[in-house]
Parts: sequence; structure tokens; C-alpha cells
Amino acid sequence: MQVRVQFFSYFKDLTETSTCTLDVKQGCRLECALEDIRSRFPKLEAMRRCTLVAVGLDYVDKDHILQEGDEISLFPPVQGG
Amino acid sequence: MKRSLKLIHEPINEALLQAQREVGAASGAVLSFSGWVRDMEGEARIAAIDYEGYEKMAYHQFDLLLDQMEKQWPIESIRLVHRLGKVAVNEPSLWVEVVAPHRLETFEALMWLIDSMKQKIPIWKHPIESPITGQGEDHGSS
Repeated sequence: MQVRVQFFSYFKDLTETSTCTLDVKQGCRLECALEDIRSRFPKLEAMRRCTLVAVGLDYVDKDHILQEGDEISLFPPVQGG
Repeated sequence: MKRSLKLIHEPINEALLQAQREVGAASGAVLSFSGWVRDMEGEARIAAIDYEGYEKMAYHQFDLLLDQMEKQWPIESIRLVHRLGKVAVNEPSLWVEVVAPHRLETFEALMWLIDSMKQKIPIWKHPIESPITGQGEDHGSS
């Protein structure tokens, strides 16, 4: 199945894109998809510890099971205000 | 709790927001805060900050924060405006107002909301350096 991935802030520079699609297996956990994303965009590896991840509009943990059509967002710490 | 959340791309009109204020008879405290762009970001002198937001998620996350806030304090109303896009030095990027029966809950709730916002709301700063180079006095943080 396919999920959409989007990047924000300087993650767009690191990946040189704002969106991509990812093929994952049924029942794939978010953690597994994140490893795929990092191997496709190796510059994200250095940001591992400060990467925030959302699926849809919510922050989720790494055990979250992805569904067809999910949208994963990766971004650095937020800085509003 | 009445709530108004706006992410806008034009200047924040504080005078208009104050003119639109509504305070119920049971409320004795109105606290408003605005966060302004400073001329220094770290060591760099800047001219502006370009705020990027994931707007759909920001609205959703703000709603979740306000749900928590409502459970914790007896707030009559909250209004919050965050500007996105380029905001020049000496202009506000954030305006928040809390109306409640007593001052304590307004101060606590406002502090909590802004602290939580800085952890949860997907908005990022992109400083735009000033053409005038050189270090200046750091004027502190809002």
C-alpha cells in the first residue's frame, strides 16, 4: 500500500522535496516506514533525535500501524510564538 | 469556553481585537499578550522572521490544547491569533487573550498555553537576516 510523506521547515532542504510517496506493507508500523524514509533521505539520519512525527493531524508513537492513504509528516522541533 | 483561533497572513490588528473584546458579567480578569519579533535571532541581526505553518495540523493541535485548558481552568473565552509568513522586526507575530473570573487562572492558563504551543503547534521560524550586518545588543526574549 502507499502512504504519503511530507516534510516541513529545513527538512525540505535536507530531503530536497516537500512530499513523496512510500510503498509499505500492510500492517506496517510507523517505525518501519521511518527507517525506509531515512534510508531514502540519509540526511535525515542526523536529525533522528529531534524529529517530530505526525500521522494525519496527530502526533503518534512509533508503534502506530499505518493505513492505506495515511499522510506521515516529519519536521524539526516547532517554534511558534 | 468560547474560543477563537486564527492563523493569518496579514498584520495583527491589536486595536481591532481589543475593540472586539467581550467580557461576561462573571469575569473579572482579562489578560492579553502579544509576542513581537526581535531584531536578534541567536547571534544574527535580523530584519524579519518568515513563519511557516502546517496550518491544518496547527488548528487541530490548538483545539486539543484548548480542550485541555478548558478542563484545567474556568475560562470564559480565549482568542488567539498567530501570524504566518514574513513578520518584520517590531511587529507582533502572536496575540492571545484570556478572559476568566479571576486573575490567577488567566495568568496560569496563558503561560501554560504559550509553553504548550511551543512544543506542539507545527509552526517554524525562518529568520531573514538584516542587510545591516554586525552584532547588536540582545534585547531579550518575550
